Amino acid sequence: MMFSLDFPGRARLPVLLLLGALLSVGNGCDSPSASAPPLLTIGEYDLVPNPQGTTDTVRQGIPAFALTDQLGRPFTNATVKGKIVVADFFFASCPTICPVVKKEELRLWQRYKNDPRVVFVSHTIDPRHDSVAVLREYAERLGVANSNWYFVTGPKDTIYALAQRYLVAAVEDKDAPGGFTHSGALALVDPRGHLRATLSPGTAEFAPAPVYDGIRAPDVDRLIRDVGRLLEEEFPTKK
Amino acid sequence: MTRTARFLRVSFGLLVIATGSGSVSGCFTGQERSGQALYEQHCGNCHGLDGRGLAQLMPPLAGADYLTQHRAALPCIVRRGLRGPITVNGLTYNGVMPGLSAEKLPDADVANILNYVRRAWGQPPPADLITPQEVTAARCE
Repeated sequence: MMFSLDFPGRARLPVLLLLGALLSVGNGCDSPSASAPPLLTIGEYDLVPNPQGTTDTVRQGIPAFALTDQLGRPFTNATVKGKIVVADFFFASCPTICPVVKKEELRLWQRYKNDPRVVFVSHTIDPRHDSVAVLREYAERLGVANSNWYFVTGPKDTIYALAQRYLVAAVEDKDAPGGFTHSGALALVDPRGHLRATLSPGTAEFAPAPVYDGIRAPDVDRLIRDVGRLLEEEFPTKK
Repeated sequence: MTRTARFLRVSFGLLVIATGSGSVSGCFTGQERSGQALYEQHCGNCHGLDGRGLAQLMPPLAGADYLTQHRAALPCIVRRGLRGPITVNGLTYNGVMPGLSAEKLPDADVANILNYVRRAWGQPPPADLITPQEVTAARCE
């Protein structure tokens, strides 16, 4: 098996998503392509009572973090304040899905590398090996050094907890190639720190984690489109 | 369609999706596994399905001078992997390539993969093939 997509405690979720995708193929119930699906706000939420006696769903967003980038600089919420963030979790010595994800992510970066409103953040899930120097060399060899793409490290627990908030699966696993099991999901975050996404075609509306799978070119195409739409939404040009 | 038929169809679809390309060989015992399928299963993630590698992180195989310069060493590179700096087509790479033991990959499959990467992607076919016997004789492990 090339990789596994394990959501701890939610093992059935990916199967349900796949079932949904398979069963909806060819049933002709796709919405017209003219009206693009809305960019949803997703992620963990609180239910807050409102004056009407019901509850409002309030998304928690990405929590505060204090990490270090590939040049040894502090990397915090302040670094990405007011920007659209594309985030992923990887490790430099990953022999499985990471190079595929990075190749796909490069396509996205090529499109937005000169846009100061967009930043890319690759979090290492192997901070013991991926020192600042290792991350710096990785960025240089990928050809994205000195750009809007950050490679960040920090305490292991911090990064794994953060991955959960980005709805990206990441666990240490001695038996997995390279020592870690994780998904190649790419997360899209708006300037206010909220996770955003469109549902992938065929996914049930109630699916809680419509992520962009970084190993699937169609998902990355959708993300390229959605970054553009989010830019229009967040930074409207005056007409 | 009966429920059973639908279940089987969906199950098979899930199996294919879950296992990815190239690793469904268990379903086709007896059929020779092609060098391409083996390459895509074991090598394609890093070196790319197009053999072009990834920037200066993963070296290319398509048109790589390294393959002709180090022909005799190729079986043991697959078996033992590689670590440390190498130069391919004038560029240096400094990564870690995991090896594949005989338990995971028989000698014949190593030969299949090597012959595939030497002739795929429009490269001129090599004059000589790498044989399973050659892989065995290399005594990499």
